[in-house]
Amino acid sequence: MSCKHSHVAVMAPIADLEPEDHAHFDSLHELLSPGSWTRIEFAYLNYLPMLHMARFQIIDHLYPGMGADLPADRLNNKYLLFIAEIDGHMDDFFDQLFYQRPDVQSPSWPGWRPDNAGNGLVVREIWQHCGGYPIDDAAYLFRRYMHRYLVPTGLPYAGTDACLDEILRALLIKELTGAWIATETLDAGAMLAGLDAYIIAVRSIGQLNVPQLIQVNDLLFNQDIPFDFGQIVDKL
Amino acid sequence: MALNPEHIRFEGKSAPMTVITPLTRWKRFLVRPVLCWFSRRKLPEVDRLKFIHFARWAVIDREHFTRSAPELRPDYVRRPYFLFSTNFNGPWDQYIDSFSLVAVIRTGIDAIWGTSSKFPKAFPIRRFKRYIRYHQYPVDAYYNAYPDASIRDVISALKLEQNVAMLLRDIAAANLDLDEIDLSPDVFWPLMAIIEHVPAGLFDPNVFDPVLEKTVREFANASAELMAGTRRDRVPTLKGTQGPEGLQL
Repeated sequence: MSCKHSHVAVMAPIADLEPEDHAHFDSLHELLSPGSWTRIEFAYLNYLPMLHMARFQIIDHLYPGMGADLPADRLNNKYLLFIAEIDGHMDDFFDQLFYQRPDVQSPSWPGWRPDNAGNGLVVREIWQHCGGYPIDDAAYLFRRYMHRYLVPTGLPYAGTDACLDEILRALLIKELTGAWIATETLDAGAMLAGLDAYIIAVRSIGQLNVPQLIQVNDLLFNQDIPFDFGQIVDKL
Repeated sequence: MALNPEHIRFEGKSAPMTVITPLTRWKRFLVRPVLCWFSRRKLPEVDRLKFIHFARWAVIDREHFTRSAPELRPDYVRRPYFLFSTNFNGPWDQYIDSFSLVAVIRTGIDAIWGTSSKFPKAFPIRRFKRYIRYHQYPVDAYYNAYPDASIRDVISALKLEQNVAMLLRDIAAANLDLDEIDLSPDVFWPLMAIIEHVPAGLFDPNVFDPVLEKTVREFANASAELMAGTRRDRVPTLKGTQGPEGLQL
């Protein structure tokens, strides 16, 4: 199976009215600062089964060509640039982004409350700082807003055709296989004893969805001391 | 001011880069045909590098800046801008080097980025790097669903998974009950076959682990000998079961 990837780039103006006004800019900066936005802490994105990679950037100036005689274009507004690499169609992704309600207890994300996830309230935390963001929370309004500031991709490139779930599953099976081979001996009997557990573990991996695959990958393989094969099978 | 790119580090094997450059007054009319031409062909030279997860080129039109919200003042810029974003593995220098030193890619880069103002060409490399660094924007927040995997890891894992899937299919076809799994050749030969494939698919060639490699080599040698029948005595044969010739993995 292979996926058609979409490449999303949305550049929306930040809602500060005057050049010396930085309220929205500062809020966004705090929201997106590296300390508050790591994969573990901002688990919201882990629940988007189409999303491979994403980034937020604040564009507050434009450069002239290096060494050009012309001065740079001056900007009245700062811009929030959102770039994402996804599986499938971007409208489906915008809907997921809007509706997703993460099942996490207390992520250390500023402004996060258990009751404000889902139905556009997480995306509002971000894009409310951008100009013209709709007052009402509706998926079609969010989609329309994103399309308004979409930068169409001219030349995309993807290193693999695989979907996100295929990649996560394959990476987990690879780690599992490595652990199995590393812990078993050359003895055929011992290998086959491990094979039983190995096959069951592989079949278990086949049943996991994207958030579960991400959680298992985090749990098992982002450790200083790696789990051995038996421990992995137990966890699965 | 946005954060300095030098001050931001993201955990994991991939790193983001975003470069925005102004297009020249005349060559800006060329940029869409050039991108269109490249988008219609495969890029095997880039595939061979195997350190780019995703990348894209896009044009930010002048109208994009004037399309601001009603309450904001629109921005009037003199020219469109070129947006390049990428997710790559390894050091920044090595990544840019490949653009500059691989002839075919260098030609492509010159054709695409040559539409930008004051682009110095991809070679000599020092000026090219200075140009990229000058026009690079810091990434404030970065998310990767598989941060600990390079694109090589991903490709090798997908190959390995195919082998594993074949093993499971063959075992299922043999109607084996996993609770009563034993040393029958129906299980053993597919197992040997998969192990034989494992070294090619399992390891990141950039990371050398001598202990693991030795173990896998011994497995591979043992399986090769068994396949050749030289150590067939180690495998108990059961009446009515298939030998290695019957299994096509």
